[in-house]
Amino acid sequence: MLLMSFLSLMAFSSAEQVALTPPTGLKVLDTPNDTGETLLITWDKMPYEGPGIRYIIYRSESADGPTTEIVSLPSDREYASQMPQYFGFKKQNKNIHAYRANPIWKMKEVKRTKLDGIIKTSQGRDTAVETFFQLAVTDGKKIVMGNEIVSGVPVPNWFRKDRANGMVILIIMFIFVLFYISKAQRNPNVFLRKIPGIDAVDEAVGRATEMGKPILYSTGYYDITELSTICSVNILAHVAKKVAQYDSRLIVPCKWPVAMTVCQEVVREAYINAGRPDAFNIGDIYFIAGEQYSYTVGVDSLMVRERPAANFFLGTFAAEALILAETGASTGAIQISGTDSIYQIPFFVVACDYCLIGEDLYAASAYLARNPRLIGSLKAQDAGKLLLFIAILIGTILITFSPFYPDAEWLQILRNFFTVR
Amino acid sequence: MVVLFTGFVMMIAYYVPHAPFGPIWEGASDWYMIISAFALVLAFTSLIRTHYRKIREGKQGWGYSAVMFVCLIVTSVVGVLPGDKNPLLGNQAGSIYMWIFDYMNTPAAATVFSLLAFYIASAAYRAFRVRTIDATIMLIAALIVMVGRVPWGEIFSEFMTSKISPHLAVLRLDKLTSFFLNYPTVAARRAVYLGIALATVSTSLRVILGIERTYMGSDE
Repeated sequence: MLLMSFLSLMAFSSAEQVALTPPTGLKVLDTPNDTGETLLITWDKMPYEGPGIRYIIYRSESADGPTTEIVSLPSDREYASQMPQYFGFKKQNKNIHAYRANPIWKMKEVKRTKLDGIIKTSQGRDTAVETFFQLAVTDGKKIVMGNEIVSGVPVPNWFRKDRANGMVILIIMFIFVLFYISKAQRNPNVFLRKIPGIDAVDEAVGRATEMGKPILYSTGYYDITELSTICSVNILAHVAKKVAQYDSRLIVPCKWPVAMTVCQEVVREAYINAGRPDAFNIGDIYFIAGEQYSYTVGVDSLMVRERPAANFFLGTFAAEALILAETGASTGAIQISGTDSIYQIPFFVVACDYCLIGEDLYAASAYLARNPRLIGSLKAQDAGKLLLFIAILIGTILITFSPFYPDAEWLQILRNFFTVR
Repeated sequence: MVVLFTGFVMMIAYYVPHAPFGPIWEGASDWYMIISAFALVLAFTSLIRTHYRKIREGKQGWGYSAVMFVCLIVTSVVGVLPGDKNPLLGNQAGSIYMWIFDYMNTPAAATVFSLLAFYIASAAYRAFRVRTIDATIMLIAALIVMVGRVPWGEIFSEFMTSKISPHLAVLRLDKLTSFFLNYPTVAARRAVYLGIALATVSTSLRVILGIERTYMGSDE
């Protein structure tokens, strides 16, 4: 305690030694890349900054109106150099303070009618008004107000520059996809690497048919809004067609109502395409539960009761992955899994006979369809991989040598280009 | 056409925060919620039909279906009825619905989750059986990581390396564990992530451009 008191006394006495002058260089800017929510306030770094010295930002609706303190910041924090997404990588950013502040909003009354007819009124945000800011500095004893009062109104921006890197990659991929599709249409005999898990689909369905047992298919933990679920549904269509041709039985327990509806339609279409609409049973594609472990227990008990000869676990899975796969393994079923959840891949690899790792799940449908256009898009993916490989190589070299050029702004810009926001 | 239009609008909305594109994200999720609410009726119907059939046909485990019906009716009734006048109804704190959730649903879910520990043990046994060189390497790496993550492993390896030679400090189990977790594992994980990212872009374009229509029941 004594030591703490001594240290704080020392801090105050050192703060007392500096003469505080009004902070300078106050500016207000619109925050780039946003929907018009915030403003950026910048000011100069002052010579007296140190422990015990704090900046205070005040806000008001008019230049001479009553002000409200919105934040008190330690003087050695909040620099523009810490916000490269707004200020870039200029050297002078270390000498400028920056803070992202909310403007004052004009409020409006929002009326909501409840189910029982009662109308509830609350205050909702309308538009941002011109907001005035003033800066002050304090050493804990006295407050020195800045001379400048600045104002600004946030505006929504037309382009998110911080996402430009993603857009560049998207455009490149777009060009690749179109190029390789046209190439695959000219020459459909394109080489595709083997995916054992996909090649095993026929084996799994055939085995189930021979044994006279059903096939279980799970589309995973997430709803149809996830791309992995869409991919899983695409594979389901191919599996369902095979099942219809082999005259076997397919059970699809679902966790999400929308996914269930989509699965029902996809399987129905697959049976029609296979020329077996009579064999389709909507009761085999059903909702189990929306809760994670209720669904897990439901599928587990289904596996134990019905003893399917083949289990397909394709989609994004969470903690239930191993519980499902191990239960399936204990029933002696042939298991084909595929997931893009990185932490569940090892569990599936261990507990299943075949596992589609990450991107294989996305490629599987195209692989099964053998449609030149779909195969072309897979080749585009491979070309993208080659491009990434080159980028990683260049990036590794640049990062390795970057300590020799600490002031190289272009190096920072290049590094920033590969940062995802 | 609908997918193409929606896909491109959403893509633009990702890069343009200005109205009308910016608020589209929120609007789309609201729309999805509304559609989901209708689909919930279908799910409810499906659930009732499945379990009713099981009871009617006297299938194996039909008793559980009867329990499901009792639970469905009780939770629906006590949860849907307004809790303004009776604090036991509705879904506010202290209601029967929340009691069922807190003291029946949550412990049951936790029980299933805890099964994972046993399944991990059986899965690990299968993975680490020394049959191939790959499995042997994995077993050795796993042993180092497991021992290196516990305090006695750290103390033991520190003691051993200090007794033999200080130059062997790099071989301390905790250091090797950090090495395995920070370099080979992260490298492999990133490779998978990059593959997934590219596959996501490629698949999205396939869906948006209408090349992939299997999810809509197309035969292609």
